[in-house]
Amino acid sequence: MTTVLEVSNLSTSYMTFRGVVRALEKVSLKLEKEEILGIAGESGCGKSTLAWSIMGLVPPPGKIIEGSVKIDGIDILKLPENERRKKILWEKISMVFQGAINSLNPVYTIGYQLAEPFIYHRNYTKKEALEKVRELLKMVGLNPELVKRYPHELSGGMKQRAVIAMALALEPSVVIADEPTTALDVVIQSQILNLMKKLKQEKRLSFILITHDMSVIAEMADKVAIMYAGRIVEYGSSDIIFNNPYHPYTRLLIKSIPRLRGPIEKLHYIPGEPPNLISAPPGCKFNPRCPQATERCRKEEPDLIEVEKGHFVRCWLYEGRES
Amino acid sequence: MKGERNEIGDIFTSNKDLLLMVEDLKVWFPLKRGIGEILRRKPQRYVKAVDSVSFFVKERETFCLAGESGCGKTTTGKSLLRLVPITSGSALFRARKETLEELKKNGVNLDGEDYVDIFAIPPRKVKPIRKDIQIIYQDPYGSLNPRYNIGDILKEPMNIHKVELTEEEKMERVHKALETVKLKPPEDFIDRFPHQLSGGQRQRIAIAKALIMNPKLIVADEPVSMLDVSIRAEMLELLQSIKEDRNLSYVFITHDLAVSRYICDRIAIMYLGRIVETGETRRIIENPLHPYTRALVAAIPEPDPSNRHKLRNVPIKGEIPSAANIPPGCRFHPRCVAFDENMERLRDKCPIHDPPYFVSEDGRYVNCWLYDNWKKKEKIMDFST
Ligand SMILES: Nc1ncnc2c1ncn2[C@@H]1O[C@H](COP(=O)(O)OP(=O)(O)OP(=O)(O)O)[C@@H](O)[C@H]1O
Ligand SMILES: Nc1ncnc2c1ncn2[C@@H]1O[C@H](COP(=O)(O)OP(=O)(O)OP(=O)(O)O)[C@@H](O)[C@H]1O
Ligand code: SF4
Ligand code: SF4
Ligand SMILES: [Mg+2]
Ligand SMILES: [Mg+2]
Repeated sequence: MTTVLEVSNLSTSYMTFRGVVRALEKVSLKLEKEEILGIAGESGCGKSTLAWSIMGLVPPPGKIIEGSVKIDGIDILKLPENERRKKILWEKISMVFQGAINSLNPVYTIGYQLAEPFIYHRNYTKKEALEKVRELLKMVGLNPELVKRYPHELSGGMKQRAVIAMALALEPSVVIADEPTTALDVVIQSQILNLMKKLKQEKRLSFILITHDMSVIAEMADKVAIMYAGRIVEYGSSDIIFNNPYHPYTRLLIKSIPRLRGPIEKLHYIPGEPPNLISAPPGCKFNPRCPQATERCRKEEPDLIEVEKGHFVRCWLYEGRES
Repeated sequence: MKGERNEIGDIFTSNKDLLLMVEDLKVWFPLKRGIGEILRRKPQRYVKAVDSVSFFVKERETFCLAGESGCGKTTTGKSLLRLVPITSGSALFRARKETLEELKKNGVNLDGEDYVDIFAIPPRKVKPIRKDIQIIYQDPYGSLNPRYNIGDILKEPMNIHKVELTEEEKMERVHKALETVKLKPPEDFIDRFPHQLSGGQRQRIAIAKALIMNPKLIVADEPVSMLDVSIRAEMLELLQSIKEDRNLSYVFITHDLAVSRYICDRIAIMYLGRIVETGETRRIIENPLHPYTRALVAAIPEPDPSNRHKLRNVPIKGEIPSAANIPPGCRFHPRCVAFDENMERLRDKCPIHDPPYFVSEDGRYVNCWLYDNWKKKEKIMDFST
């Protein structure tokens, strides 16, 4: 296996008037070729911040505090801004950001908007670029004639395909998709997920798929990282995360998913709510909601340790189980 | 027409466990016409948001309206509080005695019955109905006035309906409602503003507000969709326990069939303003009969990681048409895979004739010609099941 992306110790904060929002704390992860890594967790746990940080595009007042993001061995956060934009973003790694379908520019045609990377990065003529756009649209299952259409003339599902096409324009090897189906109906969602699966195979792509929907993660991901309060609390193959999770948070999260089939068991929930990231509690960030918390959990924060090959957990219960 | 209404009324009267019976509801929003259209005398066109919908809700039952965005769930729910203009239809509702009295006092003709046809009340006299039927909206952020504190938000319905209570008595009701939705101690919340609460707490306030007037029916419009899955079950459990304590019924609106399975006794699947299939929730999910329901059920992802190795096969074609342009015949036929597979038999039906409801052995109503060898639905639904 070849590693296409390696993130180490990435921390990002938002410097707000009310205080420093520590949205990302020392996140490390690896993405292999043709792999889908799912990132899940509750609203506000830092998923989008992670995505923006990997791209090196955190919006103000956010700031990357530390860490590295290596693509093909190059730490892209160390590159000067313009070099990163010109040589790395869209060429090697691209992103379908959360809510992207709502930020398509209403006054330009789809063709015009999708042609931009070809003109900016590849110096294509407008005509050449539009020809490329037609190919792209076909690739994501859209009618190439949509180049002449405006965003409001497309349905939600069509727009989502278009923004995926845009991310794929310059054939990057890594695509980050942040909640790509959250606003869509299930029928359209299933079509978009199928499309991503096909693209992964045909184009030998690697995806980071971010969503709060654990069922979508199960449907797609080879590996899963569970985030809580800006940290990865558990990380492993999707079989482990869904069938034999270790972390108390992951366990409760999985038990809270309503299921369509099988016996109707009582749904579980996690009392309380995630901490405010300006003043998170000391110790393990999950301790106020954790049924297994001990005195120590309230004082000291556990590290993320590897409990079996490729399976990492951040919880005192597994202390000394390092493999 | 009068005779037909009486027939429906008789059935409603004799089935005491029926709380609500909606028959043939249409909510058509007129489309704005261009001057050209008017001059050329083009007929008025409509967005047929709800187009012949019938269902019933029993006492202490949770009835679910499900389907994709734009299929008419919210419009159906709002119609029960007369928050949208009704094009046609009837909605017999067993209101509380006091409410019926109040309607009568305001000159609404009830023919001495113990129910009222919500859709027949003159527009300016519908207010008392909104005590008995409350609505909870999807968005816990948008549905509470940001300038009011929680105490005022919860007192507002009592003020609107001019409830004859002293200030202390009103406050007492507010405290009780907060306790019911488990915001304890109530004193901690009364002076707060909505922005000082989490999403889950705001949704609890919305529920408390709906309970203040002691309603008989709550229309819960996607009450948990905006909440994280980790606290969703808590909210569903709360709704469930309130229902049992207060003898309530819910019309529960959701686009999430997995959620509906945990909370709804019966369900109606809607497509383009029409209920395409209705019956017991579990049966519909386990064995969907209408071709659209089959596609909808097949599309739902499940928390099973072995699914990642396969593509999902969802039997449906094309995209959903606009509610302003409903296809002729069966409205689902341009997307229907079953129609293609049974072309020989259905060629003269689906594209031309709007199907009636056919009733299955297990009491399901299916709006599809595939089942035309079953019993056809008569005027009124059979609610013995
Ligand atoms: N521009 C900003 N300024 C200040 N704080 C921010 C900003 N953007 C995000 N945050 C905070 O950072 C934390 C992480 O936010 P982020 O958007 O990364 O979460 P998320 O997991 O993507 O949530 P969601 O599931 O709702 O999309 C949250 O506490 C959020 O309030
Ligand atoms: N006031 C209105 N005027 C015109 N059209 C309307 C109005 N309200 C709703 N509609 C249309 O009626 C149809 C049904 O809308 P409705 O909001 O009932 O759907 P829904 O099933 O609740 O959808 P969602 O899941 O997105 O909430 C849609 O096509 C909508 O655009
Ligand atoms: S460290 Fe303690 S509080 Fe945190 S998850 Fe483990 S047991 Fe719970
Ligand atoms: S009536 Fe015909 S077109 Fe409509 S759902 Fe049934 S088979 Fe399909
Ligand atoms: Mg996000
Ligand atoms: Mg709605």
